[in-house]
Amino acid sequence: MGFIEQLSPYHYRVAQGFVPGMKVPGVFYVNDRLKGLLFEELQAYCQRGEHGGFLPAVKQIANVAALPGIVKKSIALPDVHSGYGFAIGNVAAFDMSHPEAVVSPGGVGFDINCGVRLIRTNLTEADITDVREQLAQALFDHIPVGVGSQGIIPTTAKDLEEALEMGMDWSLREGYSWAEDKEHCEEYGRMLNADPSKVSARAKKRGLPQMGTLGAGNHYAEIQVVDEVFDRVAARKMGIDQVGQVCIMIHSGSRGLGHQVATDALVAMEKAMARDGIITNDRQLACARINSQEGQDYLTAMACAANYAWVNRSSMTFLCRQAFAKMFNSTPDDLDMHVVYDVSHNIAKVEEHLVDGQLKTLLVHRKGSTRAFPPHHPLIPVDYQLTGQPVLIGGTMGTCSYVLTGTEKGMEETFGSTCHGAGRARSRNNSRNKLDYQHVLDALKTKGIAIRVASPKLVMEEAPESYKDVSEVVDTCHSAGISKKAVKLRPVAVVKG
Amino acid sequence: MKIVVIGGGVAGVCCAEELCRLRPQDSVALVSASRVLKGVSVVARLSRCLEELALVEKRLDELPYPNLTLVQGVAAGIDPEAKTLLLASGERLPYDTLCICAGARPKQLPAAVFAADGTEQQQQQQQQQQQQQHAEEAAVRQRVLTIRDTDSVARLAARLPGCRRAVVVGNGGIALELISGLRGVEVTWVMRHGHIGDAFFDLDAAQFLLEELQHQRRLEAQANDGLWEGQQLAGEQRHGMHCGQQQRRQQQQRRQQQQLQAGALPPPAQQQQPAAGSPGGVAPVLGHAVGPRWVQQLQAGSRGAGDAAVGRGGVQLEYGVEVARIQLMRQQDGTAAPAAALQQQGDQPDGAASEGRGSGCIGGGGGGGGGGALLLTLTNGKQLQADLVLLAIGVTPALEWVPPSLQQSEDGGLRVNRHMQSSDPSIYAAGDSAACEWGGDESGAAPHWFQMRLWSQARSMGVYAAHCMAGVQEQTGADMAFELFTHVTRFLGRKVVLLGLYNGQRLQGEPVGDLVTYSRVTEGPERTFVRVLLLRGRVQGAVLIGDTDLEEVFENLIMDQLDVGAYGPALLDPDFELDHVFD
Repeated sequence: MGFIEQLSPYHYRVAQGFVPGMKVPGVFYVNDRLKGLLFEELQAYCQRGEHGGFLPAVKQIANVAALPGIVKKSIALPDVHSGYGFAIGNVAAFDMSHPEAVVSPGGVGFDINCGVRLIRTNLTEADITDVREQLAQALFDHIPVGVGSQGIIPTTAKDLEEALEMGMDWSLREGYSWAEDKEHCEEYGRMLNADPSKVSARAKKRGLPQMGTLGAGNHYAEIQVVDEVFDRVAARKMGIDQVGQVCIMIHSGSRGLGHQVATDALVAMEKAMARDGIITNDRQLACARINSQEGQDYLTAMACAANYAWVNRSSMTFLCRQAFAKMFNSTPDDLDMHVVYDVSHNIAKVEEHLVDGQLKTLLVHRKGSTRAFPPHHPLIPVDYQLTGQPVLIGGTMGTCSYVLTGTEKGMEETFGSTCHGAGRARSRNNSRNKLDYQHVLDALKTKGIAIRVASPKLVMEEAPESYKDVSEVVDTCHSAGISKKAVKLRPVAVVKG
Repeated sequence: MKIVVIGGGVAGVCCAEELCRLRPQDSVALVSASRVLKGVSVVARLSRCLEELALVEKRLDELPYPNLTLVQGVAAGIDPEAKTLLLASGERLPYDTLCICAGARPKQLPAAVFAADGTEQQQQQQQQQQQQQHAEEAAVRQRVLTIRDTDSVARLAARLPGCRRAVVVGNGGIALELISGLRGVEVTWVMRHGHIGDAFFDLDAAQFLLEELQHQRRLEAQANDGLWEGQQLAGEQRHGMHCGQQQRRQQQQRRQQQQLQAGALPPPAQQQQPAAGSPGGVAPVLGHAVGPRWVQQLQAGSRGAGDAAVGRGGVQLEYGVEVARIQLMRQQDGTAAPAAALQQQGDQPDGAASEGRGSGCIGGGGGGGGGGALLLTLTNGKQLQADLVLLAIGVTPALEWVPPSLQQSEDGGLRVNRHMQSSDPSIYAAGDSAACEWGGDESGAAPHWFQMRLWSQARSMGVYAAHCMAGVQEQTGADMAFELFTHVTRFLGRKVVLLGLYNGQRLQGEPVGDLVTYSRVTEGPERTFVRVLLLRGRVQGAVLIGDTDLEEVFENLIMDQLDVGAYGPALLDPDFELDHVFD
């Protein structure tokens, strides 16, 4: 605990030495209410001893700070929680000019280029109140249902190859997206270094039937209305400044394809680490030098998966537009169904940042964190030059969502990054969530095999404050100045795949 | 090219529809015994491999493809040399490629079970006695329904209003759903296994479900109304925002019901008679497998009849036994206890029911009440009374008509290769007719998939067979459906998801120390059950009951074969959102 120092009401520093080999400090942004979760988790971990289970997020942040080539600091955003290798909500940048600097699939996540897209309409809540259910139904019906059946967007292996290479340019060519859509996406919806030949056959096979599908788990499409406007100027620029205005939020990623790309890379990198003598504090932090074959292969395949995710979100945008047009007997144009913005919150990108006054080329890993570039940054669209990049924060399904904008302070402190969502929702059922682990020794049907059964040994704390609310997360980012609140959105209907 | 598809069930219809779409230049003939086809209409994707199916019934002439011809007829044989399909009507259909999706027929109880009490009657060889025996047997068979196809569900729905006590025999998927669908009826559940749902579950999952069942029935008894609809309530309890899904389902149901009422519900009398009349008990014409959500028809049926006086709806279980004998109840004193039930049943405009009364009268010279309730004797000697016996004891592929030159596997299905081809390369098979023996073979193909005769597999096999027949399987990736075993069903209104080698299928040869399973039960607004099975730290399978939201992450973990052994039991710690960790 001696290693952790509070720097402001909103952020803390983990000093070098907290775990072996830390090259830079760790920094996490939490307010008083959110910090409890982090510290409790750490305490529980220390009490139970250093084996098994999940590593606490603070530990993971520190382990990342020990990776070769990391610059400045390993950053945790307010919605941080334990992930695979890297915590979710971790930003880490590696110096491209450092020969030993690494890239790690764990720093990107499995659902590569998982992200959020917001589409506006000129409808108001009153317009949809009566048809809310039909609208949800229409969205549901429009989502293609995959294998073979006459999906609205049928795809073949050839389509997939092209989509992996071209990203949203493929969607545009096939007529699924508008030309102006890609202006409002990071990287214009296409990573140029994508090479489908670096994506394994199995990954493609997993991706093919899922093109244009939403996914399950925490992925969703939501019909939302503007609930509150904090920054009128920014909201007007985005065209979502009317309270009650209807928007659609799509949260989805690269599905099984991304998972397979990540898994393939983890396997390849474990070998590369042995070869290059890379040592990490956690086996889950498999990584490879950026300039090694494995590192380059991963970045190329990751770019393909990222393109796939953009195509996926574009396909769903197309379907939403169709559904709305049909429902309101209009056209998507007349309904003003423009993409406000599309953010990626599981990705690694090459960016230029000032490090100790020097402009450096860095590979920034953002896992469960969103890029938030300030006004006047050259990589953000013309219409947002004055406001800063829109940042879309999806709440846990059914809770509210936010639109923020990037700030100069965020650029300085967090490599232009901010939170991505609600973070960890602990004990959704609160203290009623009683656990009952059953021992099943001889019960398995497969007679003839005895199966070793272990029961998790857990202390169920009855945390009074067991929900990391998205508003709490967003407020911390706002107060810390790493991004600025613009609009709050409230869901009116959810469609889940 | 002339393509012929046999079977109007899920596999056949999906196969024919895909072929029409993929090969618009070829002619596709779909041979179906029944005028009502079964197609998949709405599919909710739960995760990549996992789908929730809803079936719709279509009239034979409703399919909108110009290159599709429909032939109503029963396949009677194949001449593989001449590449010709023979129909029972004598018609001959030439083909270039043929796909057999002929479905399966339900298993029956052995004839000995129905034989009237032999010892007493042996000496009396009189003609009249024999007639009476026959009539009695027919009367017994009237009250023994085999649940498998749409027709039998319609018949059951018509019978339920007059039924107070039912015995369900069988322990597979249909029996499971039947139990949860039979409301307001005293049910005894007879199974030869040691726990419920043996086809699907291990003891622990079964135990969890059983607790749920008892809990729900207790609530029902309290509600005192007999018509408490757990399934619908569960639907309504869910977050209001899921309205899309929910509404879709209801619409679906409505549509199904409308269609049933419009066409399929009153089955023609001649279809009923053979099943009831012939002691062999096998109807020549098969209906299609019931498909998911069929139990809702039952509820609609019983509600529609407006019955008020029904039992309390308890369920009793008889484990590890089979039915040894079914007889008519002998009324010692001539009082006809179950007559009211029968009367009511007779009022139904249903061919089977009125015929039942008729035969009861003919044979009922001795018995006072015109045929009474049934008396079941179990193999453990226990005796049960029932108004109705419902059989759901499994199916066997319906392939008697197929020439022996086509290789069949031990389970009676046609042996198919990885491209759904039988031993004759121009003949394919899908659905219940196929026996896929390539799951988990030495080549390492499909290590987490195995065949189970399920509707979901019928659909993906039908689609995949079509893609193979059209030669486009490489392009479409339809074979992905066979990478991972997935099944989703509903039991007691709970979502039940089975993934991969969830019961340790095929892992017999693995060292004990390499296998580990974790399970958890969470209490909450809704109880959930999760069990995973790991081999050397890699997830092989999972059972998920209730809304756990874990199906996609486990699906991905099984597909990834990532080593998660280091987490240990914490993998199931509800405080760690596994779906986020692997996001």
